[in-house]
Amino acid sequence: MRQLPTIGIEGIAYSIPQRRFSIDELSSAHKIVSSEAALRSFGFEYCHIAERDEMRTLLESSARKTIADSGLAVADIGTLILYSGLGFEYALPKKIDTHNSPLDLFRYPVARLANTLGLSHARTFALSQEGCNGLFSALALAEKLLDTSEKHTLCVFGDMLPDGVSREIMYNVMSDAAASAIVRHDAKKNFVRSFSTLSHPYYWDTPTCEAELLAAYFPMALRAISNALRDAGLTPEDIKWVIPHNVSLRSWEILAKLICIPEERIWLSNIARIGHTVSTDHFINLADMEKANMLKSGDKLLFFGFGFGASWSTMIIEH
Amino acid sequence: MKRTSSIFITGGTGTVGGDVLRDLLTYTSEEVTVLVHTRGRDEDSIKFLTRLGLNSAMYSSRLTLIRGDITLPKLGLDDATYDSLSQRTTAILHSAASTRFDLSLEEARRINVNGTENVAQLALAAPRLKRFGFVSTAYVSGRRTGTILETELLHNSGFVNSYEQSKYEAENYLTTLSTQLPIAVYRLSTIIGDSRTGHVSHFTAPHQALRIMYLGLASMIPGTTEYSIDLIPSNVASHAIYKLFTEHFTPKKTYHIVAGKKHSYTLKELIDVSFAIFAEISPEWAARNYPKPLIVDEVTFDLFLESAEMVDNVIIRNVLGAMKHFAHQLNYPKDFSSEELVKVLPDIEKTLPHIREYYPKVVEYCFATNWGKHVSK
Repeated sequence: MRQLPTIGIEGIAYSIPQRRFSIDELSSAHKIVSSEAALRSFGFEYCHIAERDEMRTLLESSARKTIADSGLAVADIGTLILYSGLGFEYALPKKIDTHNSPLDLFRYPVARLANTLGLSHARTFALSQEGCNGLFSALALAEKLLDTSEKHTLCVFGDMLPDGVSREIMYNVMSDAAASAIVRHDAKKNFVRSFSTLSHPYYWDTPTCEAELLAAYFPMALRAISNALRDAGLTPEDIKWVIPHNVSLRSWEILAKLICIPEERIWLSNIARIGHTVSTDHFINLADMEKANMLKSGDKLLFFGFGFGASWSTMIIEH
Repeated sequence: MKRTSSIFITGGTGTVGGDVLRDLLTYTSEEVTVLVHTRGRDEDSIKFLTRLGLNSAMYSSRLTLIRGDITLPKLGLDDATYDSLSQRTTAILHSAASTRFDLSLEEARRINVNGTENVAQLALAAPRLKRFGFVSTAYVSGRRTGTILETELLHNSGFVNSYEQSKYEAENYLTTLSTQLPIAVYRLSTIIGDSRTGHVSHFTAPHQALRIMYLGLASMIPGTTEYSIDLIPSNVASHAIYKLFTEHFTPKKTYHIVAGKKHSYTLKELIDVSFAIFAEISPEWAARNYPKPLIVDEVTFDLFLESAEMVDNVIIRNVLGAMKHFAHQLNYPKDFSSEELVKVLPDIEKTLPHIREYYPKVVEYCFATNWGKHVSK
């Protein structure tokens, strides 16, 4: 029989940029492709855009909040995993001298973050190239790493779209954000009950495969969610809340019908407030739900996400 | 020797009309006049017969091609041609129609209703007329569900597309002439291809759906897994029409020329088999590992359509634009009774193969010709 994960997630935190833009402002700045009306009907209202050097601060502040909220000493953290779906350029300060050296290639953002946080003995891992699904892979990796260490794992996620790039990606309005959490065996909540990731590398060339991806999205989503429910021995009725990635409301209306979970049990509030971020939506949503005391001990929560590359992932946790 | 009977056929260049015409020339000695659309190929009867696969030397003396248009008064013919045609015609088989599902109702009516009215006018002007056969569709039943009898036409359930509605209206119009004209109606199921060769002469909705699946662009299809997809081979359908029209003609009769559940795949089977055939004929396609489309309820499908219409992806919009005109029929499960047909042609039950016996040939033909784009001339 397949062994279920034994980890839990604590100290969930996030940081988003102060700068906020409405759909109208994005349109005026030519930062969206679809009409304002279409994006509004998909549930989007605002987007948060980081200043050039702000993301590094957001990443650090989220990680510090996580460490503080979890009540851990930095010495208790044995591993740091940093994920970015779009690359790590934002996570390094600019070089002061302009002289190019091959050694520049070895300035590692994850090591820098560990150093900044005082994680002087932590193993460091940097993950990328899983689009919006990095959170699931990082947590799955964290679980495996915990088997080899007594100490806990800090997972940090952050993404910032480059300057000048459209804020709309495949009909979703994108914000910059950072988020983080501690993954540990002896957690007191958010116990992971199952993971299901379906990878589909045929779709690696996202622009070329756009139409095929749009077509594959729902069949694969249903399959990933069904697999996770089956592995956890649960039915859709057992799920108290779906923690979504903050993509179009329309897609959630459709997916809700396919997975037989009413829309009322999908936490959709942040789609208008923040929009979609590459890899931090689920932690942003979970943190907000915890803060709003919406969750009770024992609630089963279903996380679903899709990442370019492509992969469809589901995780079920028990709060 | 002057021939005593003369058949006039419209739609003789179409899938069914062409096959019936071939049978008429092969198995009867009657004179046949074919209305060729003014926009159709400009070819003489020798070339025309060659394209039908018939020996021109044997049949050209019995075949007359006239260029016209059913949507025009007097079929667009000059008075002399029209009068001559009406005087000599003893039988009419009207199979010309637009089978496109995406036409506006106005345009579909212009071709399928007004066209039928114009052909019926010729029939009324033909003093020697003994038979008027009208090729229709089983889907004049529109959004009705359950068992559909051949004796039924009128309903108020509505229609999925303009094709269904315009053929319904054409049939309804002909019923008003049933005391003046000897009319029989042949309601066809969806034609899929030749059961012997897989050959498809006209690529229609089911072929389009197949192509959408092949391209990995089929996300969801409305319906239920157990919905029976009634598809019929072109050769069986046209031979049945030939027999009904020539050997068993009975006015005021309507026949469902359909496959029936016992010769059909369910929707789920059709999807599964299509994917299996594609995988077998193209390992490269199999490696793409496309997910099969989901079978969903109408509300979910409509939501998906609405969303897709709002996005800026031309491919997805075109695909769904095409699907929306026929896929909704899958929400209205029905079983076409063919009791009247079986009474007249009892052997059809035995001669009609199960779709599993010939569907792979049709899929392979679609694949080999890239859905008609690479057909050798």
